[in-house]
Amino acid sequence: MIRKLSYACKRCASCRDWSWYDSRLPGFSEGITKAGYTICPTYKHSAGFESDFPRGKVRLAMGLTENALGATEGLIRKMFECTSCGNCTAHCPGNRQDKLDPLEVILATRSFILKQGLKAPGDLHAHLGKPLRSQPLSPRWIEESARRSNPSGTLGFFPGCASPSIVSRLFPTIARAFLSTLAASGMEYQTLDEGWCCGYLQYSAGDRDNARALAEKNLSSVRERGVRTIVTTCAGCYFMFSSVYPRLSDEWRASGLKVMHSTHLLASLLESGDLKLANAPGRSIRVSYHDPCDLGRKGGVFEEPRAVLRSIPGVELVEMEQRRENAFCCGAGSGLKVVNPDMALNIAKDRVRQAEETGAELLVTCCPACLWNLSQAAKSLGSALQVMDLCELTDRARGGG
Amino acid sequence: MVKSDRHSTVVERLREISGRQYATDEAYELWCYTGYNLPRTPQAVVRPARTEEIVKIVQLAREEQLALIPRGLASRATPAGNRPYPRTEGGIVVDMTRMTRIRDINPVTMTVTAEAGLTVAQLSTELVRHGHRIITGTLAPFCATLGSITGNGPGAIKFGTRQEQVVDLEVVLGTGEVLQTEPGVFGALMGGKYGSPNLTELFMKARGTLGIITAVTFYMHALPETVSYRDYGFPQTKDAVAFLLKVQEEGMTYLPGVFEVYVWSEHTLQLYKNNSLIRRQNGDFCRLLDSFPPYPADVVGVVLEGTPQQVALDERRLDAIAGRFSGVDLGPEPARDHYANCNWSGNTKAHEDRSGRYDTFAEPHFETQVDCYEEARGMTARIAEDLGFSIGERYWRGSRLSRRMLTHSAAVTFNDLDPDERERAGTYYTRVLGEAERYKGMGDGRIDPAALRVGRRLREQIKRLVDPDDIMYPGVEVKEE
Repeated sequence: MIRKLSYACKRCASCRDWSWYDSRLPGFSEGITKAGYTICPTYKHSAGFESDFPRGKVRLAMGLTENALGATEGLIRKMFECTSCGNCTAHCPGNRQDKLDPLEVILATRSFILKQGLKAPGDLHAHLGKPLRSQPLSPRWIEESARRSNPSGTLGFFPGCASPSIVSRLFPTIARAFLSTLAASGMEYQTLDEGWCCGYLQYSAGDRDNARALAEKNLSSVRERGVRTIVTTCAGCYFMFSSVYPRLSDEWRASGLKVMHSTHLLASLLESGDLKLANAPGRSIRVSYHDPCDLGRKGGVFEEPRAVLRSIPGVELVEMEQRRENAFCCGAGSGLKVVNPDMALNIAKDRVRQAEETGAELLVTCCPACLWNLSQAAKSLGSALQVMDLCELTDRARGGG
Repeated sequence: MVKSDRHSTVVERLREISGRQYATDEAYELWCYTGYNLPRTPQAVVRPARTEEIVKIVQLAREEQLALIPRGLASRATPAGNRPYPRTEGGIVVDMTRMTRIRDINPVTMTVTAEAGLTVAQLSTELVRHGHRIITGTLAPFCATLGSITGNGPGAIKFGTRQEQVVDLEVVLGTGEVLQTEPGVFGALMGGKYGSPNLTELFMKARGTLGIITAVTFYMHALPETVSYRDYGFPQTKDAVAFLLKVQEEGMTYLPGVFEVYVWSEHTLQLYKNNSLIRRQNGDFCRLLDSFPPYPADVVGVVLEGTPQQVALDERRLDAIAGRFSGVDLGPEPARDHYANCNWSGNTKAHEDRSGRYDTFAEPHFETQVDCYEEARGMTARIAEDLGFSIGERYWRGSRLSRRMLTHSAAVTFNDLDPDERERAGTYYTRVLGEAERYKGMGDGRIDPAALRVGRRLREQIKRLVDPDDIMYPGVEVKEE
């Protein structure tokens, strides 16, 4: 499969820079050419050789699988210096003919590397071997008043893994805000606090066997609780449940489980009138929205977050040029924060600058990894831009928080 | 030429010139730079950012007797990607894609100077903000870098070939000198047409054998008020060609669009009709294909621009001419997609049939005089049949409406994953181009065989003058002693 896809590459380098005028593409402003902007986030912050963007990585894949190249440390590192944002696939003319998926080649090559008994670079390898259990939502995290757990409810909130070294300080606030909002809207839910990490890191690193095992563990957990609909506040978890699990696990595919992101539910509650956002700030605030790659480009969710934002009184939504299907990555995906933290941070700084160009005071997103990396970047730049999760902003607008 | 075996020293010196992270001899990186337009593995790759760095790289190459192979984005969007291979092993690939500055946009002389590693798309994006554009040929290869686009390529009907759009080049010669081919305002305004011989064309057409192009000055043009597209279907190929020649005779050589005559064989029609992407994204084009009869129908793609009144008048004139040859207006979509939305060009297109093969086209181009095109058509069909191929797609294109030449292309489909088919496709390519001369034609790369023979000695002398150590594509212009 890798070899066949590799040969499909016609070497146009659209995966590096967007080189085609096409104002019909969604996400582009009408009448303005969008040629020349960077597609691959890691390319821009590398030395710029062939292997630093997808075309070169596809060529490396070809060399590896045809035994023309040895899997040296340097080569392996190049294959893992990718956020798996999927922007290359979205812009690849070969993909537009249903042939080449550069991201799939990269992920399959990572899998090929791991199957040879070789290791992912650096600390990433250590993380892969230790998938985490999702943390129970103890009172330490959730205010008692927000708890509306219904052990027999069919809506299950998946809190996700809470690696203390990564996102634990983010998850509680996002989860608290979201669940408070649900509770205030009269929604009943149960928390799937005996689940496991969704396996996003394992899957994107090419460890499909472990990702599959995690899918099956999570399926058991969900079934035991009688949940029929899973909702999560994490874009990565949403991507795994909705797009990857059905491909990895026949059982999951046959389960009929419905998967929602928090923005789906919030938008639905606003439309039905069950959620009212009356707590307007004292003035209008310019807000820009960062489309997380796993939710937007790969998950197809663009409208719901925007609908929620537009419903918040006082919010003026100002869009970045690279948005929706063409959104620029935050840099945190696919373990890049572990493989090359400087590169990941520099990518996020680009995104923060793009947000600043809109004149926004607040940058909102719907992914804890994006939130984390963008916040770090804004702080590193000394930017006045605040970064916040949509659940938190919504909860404040409800009168919570 | 002696190949240096001091690899590590060479890479270290390259790092001193361009920066530690911008030179490498890692095996996996060299692999990435091999293939397609460079079949032999280089010994190092360097990414310079300034002309001064390239001067030092040239000096290093001379000392170490190493070939220099300049490289743009290697997208194969222009025939510059088909340049001859250096005849030595090793060598240094000079990756020009760090040289991307726009040095000057001059609205008085209507010229723009930019570095050779910038893509057409990047330059065009910036010029649009100023209300300007450059003309790079009607098959707009936006992913091509400016250095390559000057080497070769088909031309625009209205504006001339790409070469005619270039005012001036900055070139680092094989001696290490930096040459400005048309210095000064007078040179820029007059394009070197008066006074001294035109050195710009010499270096543009040298395909990298005389020096490394580091910056290009183009003429700028105003953005048109209106752009319109036209496609006409004709019952027979000869009607389409007659239409094209008639438009020339009627003096409509101010039109910018290249006229392409596509001959839709049943095989090609089915390939396009079965293509799910085309069905999904271009319903108009599918309706067009659905309207085709089962046997070949010809479409001529036209681009018009100007004021709305001018364009409307041209459309009426063209409709009338087409009507004389039983031409039918098929709507603007194919031309618009092809020219405006920049379907990437290059010598292969991929279509996968349902059996899981990986079908690709081999598509040799050559130009013929208009009185020879039917014979040329027969020639390609015979060679294809001889090798067991059927012709997938053919088209003719008048590269300059004021000239009586047609560009002929006869593509065959082969399975890229089958070494035998790949070899046969290569044989087809070589044989067609070899035969082209008999049809008063010139093959890919636009090299006139007669000129190659006549000017050979002079070119060798020029080569020895500007590249005494034969480091620029060695062995190509000067025979090895």
